[in-house]
Amino acid sequence: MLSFLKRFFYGWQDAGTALTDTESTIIFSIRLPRIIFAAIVGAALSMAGVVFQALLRNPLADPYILGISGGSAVGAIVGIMAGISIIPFAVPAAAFLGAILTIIVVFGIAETGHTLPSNILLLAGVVVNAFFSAVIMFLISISSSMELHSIMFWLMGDLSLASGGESLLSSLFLLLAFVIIYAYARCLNLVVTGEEVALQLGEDVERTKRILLVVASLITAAAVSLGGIIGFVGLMVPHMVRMMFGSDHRLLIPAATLLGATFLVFADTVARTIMAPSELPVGVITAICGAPYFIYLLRKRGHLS
Amino acid sequence: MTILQVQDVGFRYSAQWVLKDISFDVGKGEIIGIIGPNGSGKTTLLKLLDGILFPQEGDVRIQGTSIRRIKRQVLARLVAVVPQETYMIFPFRVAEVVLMGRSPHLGRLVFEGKRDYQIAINAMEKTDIISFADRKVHQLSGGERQRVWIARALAQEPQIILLDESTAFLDIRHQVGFFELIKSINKQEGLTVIVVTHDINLAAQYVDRIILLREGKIYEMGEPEKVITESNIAHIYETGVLVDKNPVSGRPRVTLLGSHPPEGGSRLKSGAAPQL
Repeated sequence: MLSFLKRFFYGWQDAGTALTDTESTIIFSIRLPRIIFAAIVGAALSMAGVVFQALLRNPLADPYILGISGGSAVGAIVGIMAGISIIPFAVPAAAFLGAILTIIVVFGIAETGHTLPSNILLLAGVVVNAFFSAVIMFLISISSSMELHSIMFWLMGDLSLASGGESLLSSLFLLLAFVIIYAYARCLNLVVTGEEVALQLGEDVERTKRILLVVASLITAAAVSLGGIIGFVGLMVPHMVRMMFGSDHRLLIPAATLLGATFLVFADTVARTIMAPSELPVGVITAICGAPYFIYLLRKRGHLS
Repeated sequence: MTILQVQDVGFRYSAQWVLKDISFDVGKGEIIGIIGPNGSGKTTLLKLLDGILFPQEGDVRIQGTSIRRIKRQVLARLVAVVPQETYMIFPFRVAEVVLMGRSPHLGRLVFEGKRDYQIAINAMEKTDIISFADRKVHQLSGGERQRVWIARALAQEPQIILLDESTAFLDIRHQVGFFELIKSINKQEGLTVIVVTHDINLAAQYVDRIILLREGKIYEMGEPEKVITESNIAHIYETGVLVDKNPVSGRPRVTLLGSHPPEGGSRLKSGAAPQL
């Protein structure tokens, strides 16, 4: 993908001055992977946010509501403190592992008979998140000051570790997730109007819920393990799109995916440049830009829904 | 022709049976009313008829097939439900909600076509909601919203329609309009209707047969004249009533007595004469 883009840009550049090697390295090995990376993470979080809000029938739901963020944070912090940061992919892998274990635990707690009741799922997520917060606090209090810096950056969301290989792999993963989620778009409309209503309109709600919860949890786990806990995107982007285009998931899902990608690329660019040469965690920017804009939308429309 | 059979059905959420030994057949094109006091099992019975719950004892059959064996999507083409007030967390437009009724007829990735839009428009015209098709559902009044659920159920083009207290939020014009509409669709298209209601008078006016439930069992079943009698209603609801004939339709009419005992009760009682 990168080499294709490289050729594309070079072709476009031919008329003007050619790039020096340094410029080329900066653009194609540092900037471009990071932009793609931000787009993927933003898209994944927004997509997951749409799914969680619909399935849990809760406007306050976000991709982290089931405790995935807490679990992956514990995984990542343990990884950082164990000193595996020097091995490439090791911290994201530890974070992903933590997220997956959390999903298994939370689904296990919530499972009642053959169903996954939304309210129990929510409570299980809250409890597990609270537990992990305590663990994170404990780990931070015993960490060295050098580890602390990377831990804090990870916790606030950090896209500086982008690499081309991860981008390619995760974009394929994301594409697959999008196809699966989009196939259930109309079903999500029905679920939003009530689980019983969705049953009465012919949807196998339990199966749909399971499939989509797993897919949304997996893309959240992937996003978090790559970019850390970037707040606000997964909560806010779905609401913003709903206010712009309405609640039909057949439009909502692709629109939120695109807006999420755009928003995080924008936020990351700001995070990278506003205090250059030092970088801010991107999570700071998403919240600082996002919250006021969201309040503006709320005031303009009067209400969330 | 029998379209729905309920055979010795028993259901319980926990140890206590909520419904027990329930058996009845519903013919195609019949309008059935289910009445009974709070907690008598009406809503549970309705949930057994649309496969939200499955009975622990006995069986529910639709067109001869056990409801357990019918795929959900197929079931949704046979049975539509008009719910009590439901709560939507995110806003949809009226037309979007009515179009959702087409869902059981569509494949997973198929969008609604021209025919689906036409069916939705017809349903909205019949229920008198077409003028606010573009409004958000949560901005409507309770009664208007109820008509949206009814339109969605009609858009499903079902064989059987189940109404769960569907007229509770309607004003009298729309209550009557609703039952007239149900009756006319019932006549034209042979739609089978099962309605759970607390409004005994309205039920008596429009239904062919009434099932009177008491503590999870069928207390009485039959024509309104047979079921709605002073002794039955007074006994089941433990409240004093007067039953006479509706002067226009000739159907039984219930008057609540409250703390007013009937003056010259014997004369009024003889005028009631519901046992025809």
